[in-house]
Order: sequence, then C-alpha cells, then structure tokens
Amino acid sequence: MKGYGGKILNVDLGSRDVTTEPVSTEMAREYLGGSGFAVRLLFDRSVPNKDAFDPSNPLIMAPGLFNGYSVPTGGKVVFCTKSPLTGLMGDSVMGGSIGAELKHAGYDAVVITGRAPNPCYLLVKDDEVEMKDAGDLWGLDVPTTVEKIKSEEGNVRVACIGPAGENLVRFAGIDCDDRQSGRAGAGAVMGSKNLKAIAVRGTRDLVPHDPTALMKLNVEWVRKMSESPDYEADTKYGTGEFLDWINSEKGTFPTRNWREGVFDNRKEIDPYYWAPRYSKKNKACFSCPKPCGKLFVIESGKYAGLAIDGIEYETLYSLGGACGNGDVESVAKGNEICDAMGMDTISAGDVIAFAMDLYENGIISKEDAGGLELEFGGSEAELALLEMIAKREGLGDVLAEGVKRAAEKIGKGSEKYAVHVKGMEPPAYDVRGIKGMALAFLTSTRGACHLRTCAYALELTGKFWKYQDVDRLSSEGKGIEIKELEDLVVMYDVLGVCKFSRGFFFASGFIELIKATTGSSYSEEEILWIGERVNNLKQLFVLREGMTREDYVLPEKITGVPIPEGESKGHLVTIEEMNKMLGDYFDARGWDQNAIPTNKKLEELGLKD
Amino acid sequence: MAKAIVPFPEICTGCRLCEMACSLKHENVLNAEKSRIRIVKKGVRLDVPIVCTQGNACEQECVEVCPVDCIKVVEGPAIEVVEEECTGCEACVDACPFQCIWMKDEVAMKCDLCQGDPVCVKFCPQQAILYLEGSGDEREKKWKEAKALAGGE
Repeated sequence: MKGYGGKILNVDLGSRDVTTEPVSTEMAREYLGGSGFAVRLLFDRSVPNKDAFDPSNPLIMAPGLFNGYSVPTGGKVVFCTKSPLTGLMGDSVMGGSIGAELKHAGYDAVVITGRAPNPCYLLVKDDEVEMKDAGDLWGLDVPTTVEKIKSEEGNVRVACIGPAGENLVRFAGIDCDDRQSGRAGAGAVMGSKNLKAIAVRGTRDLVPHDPTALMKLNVEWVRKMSESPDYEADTKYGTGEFLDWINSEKGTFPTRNWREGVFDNRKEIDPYYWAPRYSKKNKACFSCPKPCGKLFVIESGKYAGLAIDGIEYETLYSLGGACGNGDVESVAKGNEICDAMGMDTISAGDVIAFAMDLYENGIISKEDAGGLELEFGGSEAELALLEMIAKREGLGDVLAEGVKRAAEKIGKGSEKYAVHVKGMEPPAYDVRGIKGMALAFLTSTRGACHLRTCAYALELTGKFWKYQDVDRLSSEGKGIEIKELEDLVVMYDVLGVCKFSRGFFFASGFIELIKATTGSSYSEEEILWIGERVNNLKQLFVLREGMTREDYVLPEKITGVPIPEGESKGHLVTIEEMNKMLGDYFDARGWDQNAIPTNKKLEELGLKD
Repeated sequence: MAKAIVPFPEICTGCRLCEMACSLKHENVLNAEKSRIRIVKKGVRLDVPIVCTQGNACEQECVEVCPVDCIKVVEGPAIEVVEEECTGCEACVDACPFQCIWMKDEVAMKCDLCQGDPVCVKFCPQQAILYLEGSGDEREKKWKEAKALAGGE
C-alpha cells in the first residue's frame, strides 16, 4: 500500500507479547491514518469503563498519513489513550520526527497495553522490537533521558516522559524533539505502564504513488506558505504574534485565572518584545517550512544558560497572564521546568492560577502552600510550585490532580474558582467574548480545547475557510459552524498536518496530496465525511466511558461573571446561550439532545456496529 | 570558484525537509538514509546542515582516494559518483574531511547539485542552505563552522 508502513504493532508490556498485523485496505480507505487510526484502535481495543491507569488502557501512537512524505508541516503524530485527567478522549498531537521514523520502520500505529513489572523502554528498530530495562532512566528529566538513550542506541528518535509522567501527574505529557504531546495526560498513562520511552529507528523507504507529482506539489506548497503575507510575522514572532492584539483589540486574553480579559502587565511576554532580545534562531518541527518555534536563550542573570524551544502562545498565557506573571524570563524558566519534567504547560499554569486565586480569596493559606506566598504575579512561588507538582510534593500533590479534582479535594467553595470544561483546563481564549469558542470548549471530546476547531481564528477575525462576517459576540449559527470546523480540523490530525498551516490546505488542498502519496482519489466531501466519522467515533468513545449531557457545562466564571474591562467588557456566556448553542450543535450533528448520535446518523456514517 | 551549497547552521530550524526532498528527487522514495544532505541535531541548540563543498573547501580527497576512479569532477560544478563503476570499498567515505559521502545499497552517494538546481535549496524558505558562488573565504568559513559544530574531525 503506497503511503503506508503497512503494519500495526501491538505490544503488551505485561506479557511481553509483540505482534504485528497488516493495515487493511478498508481501514486505510476509511480512516487514512493518524487520529483516524488512533481513535478507531482506541475504540476497538480499550476495555470499557476501566480507569485510565488500568493496564488495559491502550496507549496508541499513530503518525499522520503525510508523515515522512515531505509535505510542508506534515510531521504531526498523535498519542491517543483514555485520559487520566478527563476520563474521556485523551488524544494529543505533537510535531516530532518519531512519527515518520515509525513509518520508515514499517508501522502506521503502535498499540501499547499492559504494565511492565519494572521500568522499561520500548526499542523499535525496523522489525526488531525489544523491551529494555529503564531502571537507570527512571527519575531522569526529559533531556537527560533522550541523551542517555541516544548514547546507548545510536541514531534513534525518542519519545519519552519525565518525572511528572512517572509520578502520574494527570496532565503529564510526552516529549519528542523538544516538542510535546502535552494535553490530556498521555504521559501519565505511559508512567502507569512503567514505560519511560519509545525509541524508534526506521530505515525503509517510503514509496509514494507518484513521486514527481508529490515533489511538484510540495515545492508549490512551500512556496505558497513562504510567500504568504503573514509568513514573516508568524515566523519571526511565532504563535504568540497576536498576543498584544487579542488583548488590546479583542479583550479576550484570560488573565489572573480568568478574572480579566486584558493583561495589563503583558509588555514583556509579547513576542514583539522578547523575540528580538532572546530568540537566537527559529526552530521548526520535523517537516515544517514555517517555523513557529524560537530558540529562546537567556545568557545572564539568575536563569543564565537556559535554552528552550519556545515560548508558545498558550504558554505565554498559562505561565504568564493566567498567573499574572509579566516577567518573561521566569515564564521561560517555567517553560523549561515543564518541558524537562514532562508536563503540559497549559494545565500546569492553569492549576497554579487556580491556587493563586484560592490563596488571594483566603481558601488556602501560606501554610497550605508550604510557606509559599501565592499572590498573582509571584514568579518565584509559581516556579517552586511547578517543581512541587511534578514531584507531587505538598500542595503540588493536590494540584497534580488537575483543577477539577483539586477543587473537589480542597472544597470550601473552591469550585467557583475552578475553570475547566469536562475536567480539562482551558487554553488562552476568554470565551466570554468568543461565543463560538465557548461552544467548541463544550463539544470537544477532550474538554476545553482550542485545537479541535481552531474556531478562535474564525471568530476573532470574522473569516476563515468558507465562513465570513462571523460575529464573535453572537450565539447565532454557532452549532453548524463548530460542527463543520470540527470535521475539517480533525482531518489535519488524521493527515498529520499542523494547524498553524490551517489557512492553506483546507479540505480541497489535501485531495492532490493524498492522491500523490497513496494513489487514492477522494473528493472534498469524502474528506469531510471521514472527519465527521472520526468525530462521531470519538463521541461514541466518550459516551461509552460515561460522559453525559450533564458534562456539557461551562464554569461559573464564564457563565456568571462578565469580563470586567477592555473591548469585551460586560460580555459572558449565559446558561441560556450555552444551551441554545448546544441544541443547535446537536441538531447540526444529527444527534439527539442528550448528545447521542442517532441510529440514522450512525448508519449514514457506517458506524452502526 | 564553482557554485556549491553553503550551510548556515545559525539559521537552520532542523525541519529536515531538505533530506526528504533530496531522497525523493534522486531515488523517487523518501528516506533520510538516502539523502545527500543531512541535518545533525544536538540538543535544542544545534541544527547543522552537512553537505559536500564540491572541492571548494577540501583537497578533493574522495577523487584522489578512489581506487577505481569512479568519483569524477564532471562538466558543470559537481563532483559526482559514477554508480555503475563504484565497488563499494568506502575509501571515499573514510577520506572525506567533511563526512558528507554516505553509502547506499553498497554504492557511494554524494551531493550532485541536482544538475545545477538543487532541490534542497528550493525546499528551504529559511535560506539556511544557499547555492552560492564565491571566492572561497566566506563560504569556506561556513563549511568549516558546520563541520566543527557537527563534531566532525
């Protein structure tokens, strides 16, 4: 099969059974790869209603279809499992070269189940698959782990966890090539399996259906991207390029645990300030001609020697604005701690912002915080707390559970300060002023998430793809909008394409690329139909795991408290608006009002069984 | 001096599109093992393109050392391997001071500049590899810098 490694690798860490099976032509046709394969395999292989840390919970790694085929930004690989944070869909996509390496080794997915009796790492060298002892690696941070495995195994690509994953921090991530599958806690699932790392070496050719056409298309896409009007600013300042704009023009940059929508102390965390001062060069994910990453280096002062690939927009929010921290060097330091310890920067920053809010409101004391003064803007305390979370020490042990569980444990009315949807901490969009994005937070199968729709791009600018003149402050028409965006955007995860290139491909741009890679022809409608199937399958999974209509709820800070100042002053999402948008969405999806896909819809999508 | 590909490691983002483009162009497949340009990565700081200087910064050791004279300075700018004549002895691989000759299916493989229109350069919008003419010194400095950063001898 052109475009594919051809096999699925099954590894049971408990019994040490390793088997392979061919990828069927039907599966390739109907799910293409990446998230399509991963969601299908998770649905089929997981034992319903088991805890995320149960050995039976499968951890699946699946490279997007285009991984390794030189498609610009097409280097994304997905990790997929039942999330220990939300109990729902735990899919998280990263830009690391391990996806392509896996295809070169002959695999389109790896399904890891069971629990190893002792710490181990999985070594895949083409046909050879081995579980190796990781006793010496357990406890080590991410960069040291990668270095040690490379010195032992030679030229392998490594995806690994840090101490946070080992300690079952519920938002621990997986790292590869200084990029992370951060969200939803796949790193903790790896930790629960005693699996420190996956190291892959693949040497086989990937053979495209039409090499000449593929080369021509990819040269053209590189040219289109690099000649686009936004290219210079996007690559010079990265994903945070619009940070000042979303504050000053839109007033939707959630600040101090969502108290405000404008961060007054944002000067230093704006990339227009820090990029010229700290960025030594641009850094790209594997296969990407549009580098959003920056080699951020601090040469002097208390953080001298720091070098990270960052700082990404979401992290400027979570470790910056959300915690009221305007000191960019300490935000960079926090970014470094999260990367080294293997934690999602978004959830980590949000949970600290939550603790700061509780501290300022007298719900937790200095004593509870182990002597730390947790006022907003206290960067020293923030950094100390990050370490405590990763090591599960003191208050950090409670916060390592995520905002939802931490609020339950702390009690004392802390729930009204807990900002999460379905147990997932939110990204950097104050949805009180971006109504469609509020709906997207609700409908996402992994909880509050910006990347299952990229609706912020449409809502904040008013236009994207086939939409124009969209009003971010209106709740009208959002059901169909979010449904259609979900079905488009999931295809980027299926094909392994970055959403930072979302303004280029859309569905139609994928047609010729899929044809040149695999030889298969798809219409735009068929591509979106696959997207709809994958999203329905995700929904069937989360329903099976116990999600109900009751879980579609926005936090009190969003439904009860208007944005106090700035361009979105006075706005919030009322309960009525929330329910209206949800009703519209369920209708647009062909689901009933309990969020359950109807038999008719499942038949139409071929998902009846 | 003839044109050649010059690396700028201080600009290279490490995306490795050049490797993929090279193998696709020369072999009709994608495989970094069959690329004539390689990105050496070290930690978060270093991404270093390694590519043949076409004799501009070396003594053409590969040409000298080849026992069957199958590495030739061809018409145009490149030093090329005549694959049919290569015996796979790897003498050139050992001799290359920039470590930019590799083996593929027991035949030596090196950059041939794509007949004067190198595809890797087209794939790199960062301009971290440039196809440049030059009088020697500046280009030589970049090749030697890349070699030192990548840890070559």
